[in-house]
Amino acid sequence: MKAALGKFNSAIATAEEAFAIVLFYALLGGVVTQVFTRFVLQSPLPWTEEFCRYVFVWLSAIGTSIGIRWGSHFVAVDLPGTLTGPVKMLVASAVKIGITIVALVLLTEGIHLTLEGQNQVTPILDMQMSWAYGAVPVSGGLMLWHLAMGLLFGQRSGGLDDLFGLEEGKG
Amino acid sequence: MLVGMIVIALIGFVIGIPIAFAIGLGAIGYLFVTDLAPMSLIADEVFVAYDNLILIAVPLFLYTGLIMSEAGLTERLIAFANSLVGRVRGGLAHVNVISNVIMAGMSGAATSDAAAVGSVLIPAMVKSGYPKSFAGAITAAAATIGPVIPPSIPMLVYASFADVSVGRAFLAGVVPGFGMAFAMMVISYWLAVRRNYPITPDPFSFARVAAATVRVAPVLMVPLVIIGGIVVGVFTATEASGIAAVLAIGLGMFFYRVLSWEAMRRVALQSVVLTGSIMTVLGLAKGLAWILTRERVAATLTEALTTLGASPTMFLLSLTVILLIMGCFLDATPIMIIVLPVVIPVAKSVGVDLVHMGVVVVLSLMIGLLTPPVGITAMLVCSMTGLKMSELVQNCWPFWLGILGVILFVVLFPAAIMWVPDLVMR
Repeated sequence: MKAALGKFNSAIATAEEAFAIVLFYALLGGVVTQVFTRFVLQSPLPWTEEFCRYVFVWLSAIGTSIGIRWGSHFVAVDLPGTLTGPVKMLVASAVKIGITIVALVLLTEGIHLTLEGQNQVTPILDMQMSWAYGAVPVSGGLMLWHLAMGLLFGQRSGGLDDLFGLEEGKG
Repeated sequence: MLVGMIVIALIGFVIGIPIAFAIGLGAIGYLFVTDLAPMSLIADEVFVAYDNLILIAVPLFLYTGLIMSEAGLTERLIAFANSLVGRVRGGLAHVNVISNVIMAGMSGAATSDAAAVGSVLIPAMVKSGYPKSFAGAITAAAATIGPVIPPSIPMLVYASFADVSVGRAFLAGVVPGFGMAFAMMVISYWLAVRRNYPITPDPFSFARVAAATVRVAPVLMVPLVIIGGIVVGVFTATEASGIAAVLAIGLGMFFYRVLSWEAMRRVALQSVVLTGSIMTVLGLAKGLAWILTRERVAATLTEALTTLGASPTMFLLSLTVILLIMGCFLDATPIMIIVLPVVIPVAKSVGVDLVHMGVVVVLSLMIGLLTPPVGITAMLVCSMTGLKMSELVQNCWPFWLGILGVILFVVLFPAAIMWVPDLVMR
């Protein structure tokens, strides 16, 4: 059961990262298309700005949830890292509970926001706003998933080293 | 009740909850016990923060800097800088500063600049006989030039809050950015003479400078296009970031032929995650900022300062002190998000030019990147080198003083920095 869950978790992580990369290049493509049609073709496409805005919303949301799995969100003090034994467990649990509460609010309130968005459409793409608002609950849900899987399988050490591909003492 | 919200956030910071989530928790706690607004405010404000046209440039500038590093273009920049200033006493320290000035014209984030330049120059400096602690300190300090010289991610965040022209805000950073570089080179020279740091063995020659310039010329095109495009008004900052990213890919993949598809995948993912870290802070702190505004914190402060008759200079000096203290404990983005909604209305009432204030804010926050316990750039350099924070800090303080000198100059002589945006964007 745990092995199957592990495989499913890996599949989710891979899909999430692939989606993040697609979002990034879609954003880049959107911005470049905007510049190209405005300066080269002298006929700007009306939808590129709106497209970029909503891709960026999703990119930010997915970047946030991957950040939970990587452990790469900025922290002021890494107190659990300096402790040992049961105190460390207690503080680390408090940290997880704190993140879980915020993720839960983003999931539940984000669902309400998304449902409300069914009645609104974007001005140019004529797209239901739910597609844009949906980024918030999806991000909250993925964060909760990563927190749960972190409890089951342990979490990557992450942080700045992960973000910049560094190794300790590389310099 | 407001105090309770701040206490929750502070407890969160201290026990190690990520900054964004600790702030979010404070806002959630406040909404839970009061009837100021429904809990949906949190999700609403997160969406509003993500739906920001100006900040689309953030992942693209981050990507440009990371691609430049991944494609080994940093080495060419360093060779170019070395040909120019390597023969001065403490040559590699000056090379570090000049490389960061050029990188600053491309990426706009101190951490990625420190990672790119430091990964090449710190080992080279140690090999040449510089103490590792000094090599780390100058790398961390010089990287803070990045967000001051345009393009600048903190300045983008500031401009989106203060509702000022991104182009003007960027251009106001030009003089202080070069001022920081000059101050750091003077300090490095002084330290190098006192401590007898080496010079680069290769003699200065115009032929060597010319050869290095030819090798680096395509790379130098990137900052020229970014800054030139924004200054002339051809591109917006967002469009410039897209063009810069495409140029970086073109150089790495087709011109120098060193950039792999795998690297492009990895760098795109890094850019998304870094952007996520910044945007989470922005999103979750927006709820807190909304509460502070509704509870008339800014209005009360404005009334108090107006009664006291504070001058723009006094106001900016006080703000600098507050930001320097906060910078010891928080990263630049969360500080801006907590402070700006309160401070901007006050600044307007006191008669401060908001573009001028943007430079003061960004500069003050750059010292925070170097000060313990939470100096992100200092932490990154410690992580790269295995140095202890205390060892790095011992070597960083002369550079703090240098940046502090630049801040004082900027506060006291606004005309000396504002002439650039005034001249270019009349």
